[in-house]
Amino acid sequence: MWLLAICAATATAFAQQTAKDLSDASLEELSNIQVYSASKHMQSASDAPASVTVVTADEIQKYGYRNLADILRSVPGFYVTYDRDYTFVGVRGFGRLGDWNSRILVLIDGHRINNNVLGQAMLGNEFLVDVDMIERVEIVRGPSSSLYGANAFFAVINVITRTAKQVQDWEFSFQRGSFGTDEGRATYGHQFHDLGVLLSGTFYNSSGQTLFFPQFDSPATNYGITRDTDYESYKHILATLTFHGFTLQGLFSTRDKGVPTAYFGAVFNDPADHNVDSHQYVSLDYQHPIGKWQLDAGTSYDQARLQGPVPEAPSMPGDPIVLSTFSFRGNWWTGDIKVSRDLFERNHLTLGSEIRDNLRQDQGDLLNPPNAFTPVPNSSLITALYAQDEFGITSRLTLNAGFRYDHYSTFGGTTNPRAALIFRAAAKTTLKLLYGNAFSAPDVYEISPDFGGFYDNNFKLQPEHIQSLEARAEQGLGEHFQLAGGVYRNRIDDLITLVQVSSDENFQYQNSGNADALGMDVEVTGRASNGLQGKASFDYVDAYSETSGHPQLNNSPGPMAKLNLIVPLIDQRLSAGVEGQFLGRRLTLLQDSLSSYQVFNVTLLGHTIGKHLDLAASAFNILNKKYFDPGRPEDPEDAIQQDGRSLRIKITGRF
Amino acid sequence: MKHATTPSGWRALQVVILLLMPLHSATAQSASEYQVKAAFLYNFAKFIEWPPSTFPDASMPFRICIFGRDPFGQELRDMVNEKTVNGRKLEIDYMVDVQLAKACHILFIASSEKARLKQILESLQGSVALTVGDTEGFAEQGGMINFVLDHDRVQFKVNRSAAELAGLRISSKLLTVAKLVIG
Repeated sequence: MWLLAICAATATAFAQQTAKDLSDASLEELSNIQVYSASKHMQSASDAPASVTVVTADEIQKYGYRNLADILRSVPGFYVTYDRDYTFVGVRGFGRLGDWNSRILVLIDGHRINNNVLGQAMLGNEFLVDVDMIERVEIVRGPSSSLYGANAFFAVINVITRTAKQVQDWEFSFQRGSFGTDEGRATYGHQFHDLGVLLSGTFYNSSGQTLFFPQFDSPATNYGITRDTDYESYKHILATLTFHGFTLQGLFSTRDKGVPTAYFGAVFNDPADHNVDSHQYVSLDYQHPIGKWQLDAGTSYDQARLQGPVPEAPSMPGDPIVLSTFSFRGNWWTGDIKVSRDLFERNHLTLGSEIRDNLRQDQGDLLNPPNAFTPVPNSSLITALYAQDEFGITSRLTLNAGFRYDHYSTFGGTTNPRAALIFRAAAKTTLKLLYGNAFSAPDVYEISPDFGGFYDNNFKLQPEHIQSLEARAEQGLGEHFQLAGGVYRNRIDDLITLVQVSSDENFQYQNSGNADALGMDVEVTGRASNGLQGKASFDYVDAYSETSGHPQLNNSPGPMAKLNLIVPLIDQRLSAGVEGQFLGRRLTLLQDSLSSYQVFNVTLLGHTIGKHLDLAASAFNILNKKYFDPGRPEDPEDAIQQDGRSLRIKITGRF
Repeated sequence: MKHATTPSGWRALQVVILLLMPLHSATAQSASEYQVKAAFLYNFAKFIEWPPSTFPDASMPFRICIFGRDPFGQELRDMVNEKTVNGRKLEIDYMVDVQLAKACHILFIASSEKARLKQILESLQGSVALTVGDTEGFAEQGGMINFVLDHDRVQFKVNRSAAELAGLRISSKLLTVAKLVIG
């Protein structure tokens, strides 16, 4: 039926530009393009005091990325684990099973979205923003607590959303995919002189798959087959208003996922086992120059909820099923201010301050579901001050140094410095030496675990620390290519680990682990003027625990390789995006070895068909490779099989 | 669960895509500051006339030079790749020596040279280079085109008398788009 819609072309001319076609833009058009600022100060990626990857909206469409996790899969150093509930990420060899993505900081337009109970950053379909509303994602690898504070342990991921001017009136999108999946979006954006308005809503529904789990292959548990338990649905609403230097943004997101793995001892094959996550926020930001200073101030309010009923399997046959819950409720308010200016020639100073009040950090009461919560005894206040200076020692050598002091009403203060030396050896050669410290604050569920009577509190928990040293080189090769590579050493101390307390045989989270990682990565990127572009990368990391025998960490692939290629087939009108990812062997929680695997995805994108429509067809895991991710502590499965080949068709109309 | 599309549905879709009338358009994107400035430099080459003696023969390339710490990177090289202005190829050079910089046609003076700007502009007297910069007060100190950022948009100021002294003729098209024309 949509074949007819495609063929009905309408006649209105509708010209827009790509960054590549700027040379065809008129002078008036050039003067009207809104330029973005890279990281926290305008600089090109070569000047950034870290290892930066940018993924643009153009690549998101051409590679058919479905969510932020798909985007991260293509980034060197990152790997993703899915347990049929949430998607978790490992960075540079560290992806400990049981953690909640609290060691990466995820921002939407500079607004932190890690929640304040688990510290969890949502990455997969549970991510808060429709991937079509993303203008670009900036991924900064390396410790960045000197600017951002907690959670900026391994990486900072800033998702920048599209503005009213970029959307140009109406957009509609509809997708249909495997496993009974439907997704629809409507977006409106318009710049009225000084006021920019952007409004977007998305809904998604998926019936999910019928799955087989060998651990449950017995008559009492339906021979391991679970039906109608892998369902998923979500809704997002994003609204952004801009007026002179003000930006007001509101976001509403809710997601319901059935959990087929029967985690936390749940009844197998019961659709009542599900998670409902929601996150809403309102933020107001103001940017304006004051004399020679650039001021950036903002305030925001967030609310995050999880309701996860778990029908507990009875220990004795004939006992009633108890409904317990894995849930939480968090509210927090943030205020921040930043000023920056050129102090003198070749010197740029940034000063900032942040305050965060955790108004509520309640965990669901396991014994009295579904609406009872255990309030955390100490709600916390965080205050922070930071300073960063970029100093051009000579015209070729720059020192970028900074530090941040965070004070937590729970554990006290922590200071985290960072320094980077950037040397432009030649017009196309940059060398960088980077050193940084970062911390990950203890989360509420670690300080006062609410998993039942066998867990003790630990109000003396301290943050985890990482020290990182990295050397990088970036070299332009000819007209079209760039080669970049680095070697790094990470030392992590005071890892918060669940240990058994000898005095009462209970469990408690303590600062009692250390981990080291020594790794390298190398990446080649290329772009031709006809639109052919791609990148290939190889990572190798050796990550191990410092206890005796230097055991390998679980869920840590040694080698990783990625390949991305966009091939223009008919000018700008039809392109093919091909992706391949290889992941090395990983250890599960039971110390079994999961074999390595490679997955390929292909997307064909037809651009501006009939002047208004885009049509895309994607095949994910096109070779239908059977592969597994390791299970988490709460999963009865040691390894969880991932999706085979899945397909998706997407049509987008712009008016 | 069955897949949503069958293999024959796939093939039908590919046929539809290939049959459709092609049109020139692409997705809107924002651009980085230096991508836009690079596009402006290319436009300056198109909309300004150099004295005829500057180009003794048709094969001479048009030289865009960066003086000091390069803020453009690959963006400028991508912009001029395989393009021509009045039939001339565009060449990007990186300069650190003022005397050699006199042979450039467009000379972008980077913010790293801010402290020495007056001396650099004085040494360039008599050359035909169009001086472009984005430091504050560039035009007031004698630079010819000064990029400024206004509400996240790249604009530029023109110091017309400085350009006329060098024998350069700026097209009125460029002057009308300029945020400010002084001199």
